[in-house]
Order: sequence, then C-alpha cells, then structure tokens
Amino acid sequence: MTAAELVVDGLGMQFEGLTALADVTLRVPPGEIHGLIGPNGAGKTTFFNCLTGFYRPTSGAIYLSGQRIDGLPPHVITGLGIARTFQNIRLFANMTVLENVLVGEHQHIAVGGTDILSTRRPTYPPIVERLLVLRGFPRAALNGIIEIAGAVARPPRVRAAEAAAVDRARELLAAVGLRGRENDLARNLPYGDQRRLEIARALGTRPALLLLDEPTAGMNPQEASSMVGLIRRIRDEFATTVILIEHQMRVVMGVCESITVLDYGRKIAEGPPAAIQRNPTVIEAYLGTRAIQGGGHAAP
Amino acid sequence: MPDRVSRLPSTPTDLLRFRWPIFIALCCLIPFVVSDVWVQMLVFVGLFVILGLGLNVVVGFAGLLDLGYVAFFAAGAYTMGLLTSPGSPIDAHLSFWLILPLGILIASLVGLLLGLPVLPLRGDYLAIVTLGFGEIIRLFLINRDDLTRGSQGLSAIPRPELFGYEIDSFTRWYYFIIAAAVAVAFCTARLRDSRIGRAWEAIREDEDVAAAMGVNTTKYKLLAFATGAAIGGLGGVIYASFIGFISPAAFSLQVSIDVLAIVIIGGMGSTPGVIVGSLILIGVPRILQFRETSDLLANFGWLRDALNALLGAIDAVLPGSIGRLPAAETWGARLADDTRFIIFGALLVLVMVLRPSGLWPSSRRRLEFAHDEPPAPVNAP
Amino acid sequence: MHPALTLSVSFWSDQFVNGLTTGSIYALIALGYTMVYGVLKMINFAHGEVFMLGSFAGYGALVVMGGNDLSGPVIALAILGAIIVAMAASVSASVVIERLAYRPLRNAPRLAPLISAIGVSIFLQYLVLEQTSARAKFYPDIFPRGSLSAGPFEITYIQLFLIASSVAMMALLYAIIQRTRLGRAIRAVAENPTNASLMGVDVNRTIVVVFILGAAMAGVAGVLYGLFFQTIRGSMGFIPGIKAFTAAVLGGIGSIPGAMAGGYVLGLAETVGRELLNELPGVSLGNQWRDVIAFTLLVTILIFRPTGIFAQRSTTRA
Ligand SMILES: Nc1ncnc2c1ncn2[C@@H]1O[C@H](COP(=O)(O)OP(=O)(O)O)[C@@H](O)[C@H]1O
Ligand SMILES: [Mg+2]
Repeated sequence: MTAAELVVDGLGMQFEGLTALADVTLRVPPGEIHGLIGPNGAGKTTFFNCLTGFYRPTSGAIYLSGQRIDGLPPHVITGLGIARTFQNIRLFANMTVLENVLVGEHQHIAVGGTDILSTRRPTYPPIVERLLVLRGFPRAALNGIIEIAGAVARPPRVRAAEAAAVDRARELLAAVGLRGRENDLARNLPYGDQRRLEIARALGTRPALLLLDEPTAGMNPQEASSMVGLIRRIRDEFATTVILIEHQMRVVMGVCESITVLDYGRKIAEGPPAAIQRNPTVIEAYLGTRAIQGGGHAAP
Repeated sequence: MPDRVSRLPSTPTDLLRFRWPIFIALCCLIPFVVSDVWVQMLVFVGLFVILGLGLNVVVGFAGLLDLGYVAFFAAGAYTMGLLTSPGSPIDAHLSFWLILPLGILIASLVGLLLGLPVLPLRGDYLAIVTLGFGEIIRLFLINRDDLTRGSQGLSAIPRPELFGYEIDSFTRWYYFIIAAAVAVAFCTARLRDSRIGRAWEAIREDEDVAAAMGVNTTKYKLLAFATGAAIGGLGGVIYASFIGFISPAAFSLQVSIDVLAIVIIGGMGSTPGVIVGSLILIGVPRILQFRETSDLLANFGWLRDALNALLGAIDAVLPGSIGRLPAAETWGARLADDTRFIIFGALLVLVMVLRPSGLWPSSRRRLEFAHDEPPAPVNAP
Repeated sequence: MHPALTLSVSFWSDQFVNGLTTGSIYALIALGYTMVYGVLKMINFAHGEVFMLGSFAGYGALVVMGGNDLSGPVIALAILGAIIVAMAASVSASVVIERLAYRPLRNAPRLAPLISAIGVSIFLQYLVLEQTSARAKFYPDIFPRGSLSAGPFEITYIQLFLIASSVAMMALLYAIIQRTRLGRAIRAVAENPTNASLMGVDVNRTIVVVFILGAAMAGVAGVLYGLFFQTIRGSMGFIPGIKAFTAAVLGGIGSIPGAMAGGYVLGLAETVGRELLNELPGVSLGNQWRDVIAFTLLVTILIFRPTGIFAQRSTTRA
C-alpha cells in the first residue's frame, strides 16, 4: 500500500456529559510523521479510537485518502489501511509472537473468504441498519463455508497462502528486532519487546496510516531512541503515514515533521516542532503539568 | 523460556507423532476383549466425545459460553426422527446417509438463527440466551405434539446401512462412532490450526483488538457457533438412529450440562481433554452400574465400613453434620441420576478456581497456566 | 372501526393484576442481576438459586413456627419471621458464593467467573433436588383469603401484599443506593472500580455489599413466591432466574430503576401481552407459551435495543 492522506473535519466525541473531543480539524499529508501531544486526558487516545472505529464520533467526518470512513466498523477500517498500537499494551498474551503477527496479517492471507462484506457507511437509523446486515447474509455464509472447507481440506492454495504469511511475519519480526522470539508466548516478552511486537502486528495489516499510542512509554532513553529509529525506518520502508502520540518531548521533537496539540479535547496548536515548542498557548497548557522543553522526561 | 517451548509437540518424537494412530488402533481392539455392556457404554462415551468436540469449538476455541448446546443435538435428532420414524407425520423413509448432511445443515441453521441476533453483541448475553433457548426447544418439542408427538416421542427410527451391512450390533455402532469421532476430531484440529482458528483465539483473548487487526469478529463468532451446532447436529442424527426412539425428555438442560462439564473439566480447547472428560463423566457412572463393578466393589465393603465408622465419630461430635457413604451397589444408580450434577457443579467451580486448564489441557493451555502471573490486564482502549 | 376486544373488562383487569404480581417477583430478582452486573460486568447465574434457597428457608421457618396451624394475628409475625429467615439464608449463601467462587476469579479471563457461576447454580439446584428427592414442597396455606375491588379491578389480599411489599423493598433499596454513603460507593465502583479504589472506596467490601443487597431482595422474592404459588421445588430458580435477567436487560442492564420497570413490563407482557396476541386471528397461545414470550422479548430487545428500552442511545459501540 502507499501512504495515505488523513483528513479529519470537525470531529467531536461526547461521553454522557463529558466532551472528549470538540471540533478537531486536521490534515496529515501522505508519508508524514505527525505528532499528537497534549496533557493526560486531552483526548489523544480517544482521537485514535475514533479513527479506528472503536468509537463512533458524535460529530464530524474522517476521510482516508479521500474515502469517508467514520461510522465503519473497525475491521473494515483496518482493511482500508489504518492500523494501530495501544497505549496499555494489548497483545494476544497467550498466543505466540509469530501468531500475533499472523493475526495482524489476517486479511492478507488468501485462503478464500473475505472479512469485508461491505464498505457502505450506515445511513439509516440503527434499527434499519441492523436488519440490512441480513442482506449480506447469503454471501457471508458462502464465504464462511468456503473458508471452513479450505481450512479442513488444506489444499495447496491454502498451504501456500499460510506459508507466505509466515514468511512475511518473520520478516516483520526481524524488521522490529524480534528475530528468534517467534515461538515465545507474547506475555513472556520483556516490556520493550512487547511494544515492538505491537508494531510488527500492526504492520501485518499492511497499513497506509499507522497510529502509535505512546510507543516509548515506560522506556529508558536508549530504548526510546532506538524506537525513534524504528519509527523512521518504518515510514521509509513500509511507505506509511504515521501519527504518533508521545509524551517524551525529545522523541516528539526528534522524529515528527509536524505536530498537533490537543487540550481538553480541542486542537490548540499545529505546526512544525520548533514553532510548537515556542507557542505560548502550548506552554500555558502544559504549565503545572510538565515541562515541554526538550529532553524533559514525562511521566509515563 | 525457550526450553518451555521445546516441550510443545512441535518437535515430536517418533512415538509422539504416531500417538493418535496408536490410540485409535488400541480403541479398535477393545471390543475383542470386553463384553457387550462395556461396548455399549463406550458408544455413549464416543457420542459425548463428538458432542464435546463440537462444544469445544465454541467454548474452547472462540471463548463463547453456550449453555444450550442440547438445542443443536435435538435439531439433529429430530431431523432424523421426523423424517424416518413411522410415527412421524412427515415420515419420508429417507436413508440415514441423506439425513446426516440434512441434520447437520438444519442444526447449523438453527445455530445461525440463534447466534445472529446475539453474537454481534459483546459479552455474556450469549450464555443466557442459549440457556433460555435450550429450554424453549424442549417446550416446543413437547407442545407441538401435532408434529413431534409430544412426550410420547418418535420410535422405530431406522439404523444406517453401510456396504450392505446394517449397523445393528453394539460393536458395529462402536466402530461407527469411532469413525465419526475421528472425522470430527480431524476437522476441529485442522480448523484450530488455520486462519480461522487464530481468529477465534484472538477473539477469545481480546475481541476489540482482534477487530482492530481486521478480524470480522461477528463473522468468526458465527462460524464458531455454526460449526459447533453442526457437530451437535451430527451427534443428534447418530443418537436418534442408535437409540431408535427420541422424546423431549432426552433433550433437557442436563445434556448441555454434561457436555459443558466434559469440555471444561477435561480441558478447554483440548481433544484428549474431551476424551478423558467423556470417559470420566459419562463412562464412570455407567461402569458403576455394571454387575461386575458392584461385585468388585462389594469386596471392598470393609473399606466403606471403616470410613463410615470414621464419619460416625465425626457425627457423634457434631450431630447431623455429616452423612454416611451409601452402599457401593447404589453408586451407579445415584450417579446416573441427579446426584451426578451436584458433583459436576462443584467440579466446574473447583476447576475454574484451582485448575482452569482442566484435567488434560491442550499443550498450549498448559503453557499458559505454567506461569504464576495473571494474564496481562485488559483495559479499555 | 376499532376492533372490539372479545373478552370482558374484568378479564383484562385480572390479567393486569396477575401481570403486576409476577412482575413484582421478577423485579425483585432482577435487582440482584442488575446490581452485580453493574459492579462486576458478570451475569450471576447462581442468583436464581439464591432465590430458591430463600424460598426454602422461608418455608422451613414457617413450618417450624407451626405451618398450617398458624392462625390469627400470629400469621403476620410468622410471615415477617419467614421473610427475615429467607433474607438471612439468601444473603449468607450469596456471600459464601462470592467469596469462594467469584472473588478468586476477579482477574481471570472473562469466561472463568461465568463458568464458575453456572457451576454454583447447577450445584445448588441439584443439591436441593437431591435433598428433597426432587419432590415439591408446599407452603402452608395460611395467608388470609379474600379480595378488594375497585371498579373492574379485583385484587386478592395476597396479591396486594405481594405487590405492596415488593414495592416497599424496592423503595428501600433505591433509598440506600441514592442516599447513603454505601450507595455512593456502589455507584462509584459500578462507574469505574479503579477510580473508586483511588478515591478510597473499599472495592471488595462494596462488591460484597452489592451481593448482600441483591440476595436480600431475592430472599424476599422467594417467600412471596412461596406464599403466592405455594409449590416450591429445587429447580424453581431456573425459569424465574432467566426471566428476571430478561427484565434486567429490558430495563437496561446495570440500571436499578430499569430492572424494576423491566420486571413489571415482562410480567404484563406475559399476561396481558399474551392475551392481546390471542386476540389476533389465528393466534392461540396457551399458558405454556409464556416462557417463549419472555424469551422472544429478550432476543428482540437484544437485536434492536441492547441498551434496554428505557436507556438513551449509547454513543459508543466498542
Ligand atoms: N469510553 C469512555 N467513556 C467515558 N469517558 C471516556 C471514554 N474514553 C475516554 N474518556 C474520557 O475522555 C477523556 C480523554 O481521554 P483520553 O483520550 O484517554 O486522553 P489521553 O489524551 O490521555 O489519551 C478523559 O477524560 C477520559 O476519561
Ligand atoms: Mg492516552
């Protein structure tokens, strides 16, 4: 896939009474590494959850390379090219390292049967939409039967697809520095490696836009700087756009080409790192929470 | 840590590689050495192995709690009964081999119909809906007596024929059941080791994240549910033909409990676990009813007397606190009866609290529970 | 023209009162489901059996106090005593269950406490069936007969007592949840256990309190059920358990007023609703279909409004 452009227009997200995002408008050009910063609770993770379909935004629109994606279910959005990692690591803890990446590759293992039956956004009231799902049922059922038959009979086509997926998973693991750990259970990896595995798994989905939620949280400076190198390499080798939520200012300033600052769910600033660092509104928002000046360590 | 992995059967010794063929061959020898009652008992065990393997797909692989598994068993059995019993209003004299795929199809359709409204939702609703549905099916079978002849049941259901032989003796049924169980075990093992199996496991681990990796969670939950239902339907068709008579009483909640207990106590996700579970939970209560067993146990009457003396001593200190061991001859009858469910219920709790991987866990689960730390906490995104 | 109902007004008012009566029992049991779900996000499958144990304990108390020989004003005291004994039995059972079968699994995979709960439910149900040789017990027939009527409505004393006492219990519970520190703690834990414990709430204790309150309601429901239907047996918790859970889902699981309303809606749907369906041409649903009605309602609600009929539409779906 080629890197995607992200356009977010007037995005709002409301939880009973609490406004987590308000009128966020943003454009990230293809191939950019974009930083998303802001104090704790500013709505950064919520922003990711909206992009990936975990939450259905209460207002606004999201476009990925021109296609409107808000309102689509998460697995469809993933199929269209958005992948993510999680702030509080959420690996499949009892599966092996290799299997974790294979799940990431799920939609790209050509064993017959697709997961995306429709990319239509819901337009009718929920009740109607729930019934409309039934329309796709015969096709979905056929799909499922084909996939089950393939899994049981395991014809050469399926074997080849599985083998190719395993090869690719090994490549991805090597790319993030996890060669040799393929058969370990994910839960037994050291903390830093778990973050790397999350990235490899996300890359398995072949993203055009990669969302990284605090990938260096809890890492020491050396680990963090090797993560910076990895993020750059990923953007170059895998041709993705990257949005990075990050607290360690050295990381943000070092790797991001452009930065958006959120505070209380609103975008309060946007621009290149140097300008952000000097921006009085941003400094104001961070006052009393933590220093924004370079090198400072933020609480994880 | 790597040495832990090397214990996985991914590097099998030669003997390990042939453990299944050897096991199956040994099973095939059994009828030559035991009497007919034992073979009959093993036919029942085999039937529950099939049902257990089916529920294992739902509960063990995909992590969905289905408490109404009997519904699919009933769907298969009544497909067979209604289409072949002379007492049925729609008796069509169809052959077993035609009804087998039909029963499987109907059971999986019932599964889809039930799963469709519930499976897109998260969480525990499935458990309660299946629990209710299992009861509804039974009510339906009783009350639509114009179709099912209600509690009178359907009788004279014919047996299958294979290569010109009617499958009529216990021994023939035994081999038939083994063949069916092997086929089912093969299919579920292949499914487990495929993209589908990984998707199921991912859903079991963390449904949200599975979706974020591109897995259509609704589709795979439905596939798990329908696969389990299909295997339940297969078991139902075989059961109806084996017993020759079906009535709603045979399709109560207790069947669901039996199968669930087999899967959980044997070891979730594990084929050997299902076999061990069926042998212990279905086989042992029947074995205890055999004359030979109670004769054997009668030899140990002194042991019971000694234990009862001990219990009597406790009772003397704390009157009414404790009962006595009943005579061994009555154990089989009691275990065949409701009493066994008291034990099952307690075992389900004990297994969950003390040994969540079950008696014979899958090699993977054994690995999971080999560590003391709790699984990584799963928080909201 | 408006199609006339074929049955008399008094028939419909009877159905209405019957619906309120069973609805009261569903509502009382539903409270336990909804509160436990609120704090633990788990279906307490054993709750139907907690109700059953309460019913048996109340029965035992009444028999000990004289059973069918009771007469005069003593009856009121005996019933009060039975209710207290039932509440005590249900509460102790529930506390033990929570401690032994649920708490060790607090951090286990989602499936584990669910399976444990179903294990407890099976264990208790068959234990009582075994102890009673699977035979029914009959509550002493001591409640004064007779009825009140107002217009087309006629309500027997026992129905009035049942409805009034369950409404009183629910009002009491509601006051506890809304007005007391205990209630605030429960609401805080239901909202977010981590935050609650950060704010100094003892989460374990609060969870136990939730089990206690739910079990107390179930115990009362057990005695009311026994007094009204008279026949009790070891398996009696199963169907009311599922129905009460349905009621909790109807009202929006986790919501206390929702569970009460859901109980009454379900009670009325089974009686008035079924008879209304029978008014349709070609429909004839006997009493044995009432369980099917409840179940169909559950599935329909889950399809169209998984958040319950009263809840506002949720903004999230993950
Ligand atoms: N599912 C939810 N329900 C209610 N409130 C939420 C939910 N998710 C996030 N919030 C609230 O939205 C705000 C933003 O949270 P978040 O996006 O996690 O912040 P951060 O910028 O630290 O990642 C917080 O106040 C949080 O409590
Ligand atoms: Mg965050």
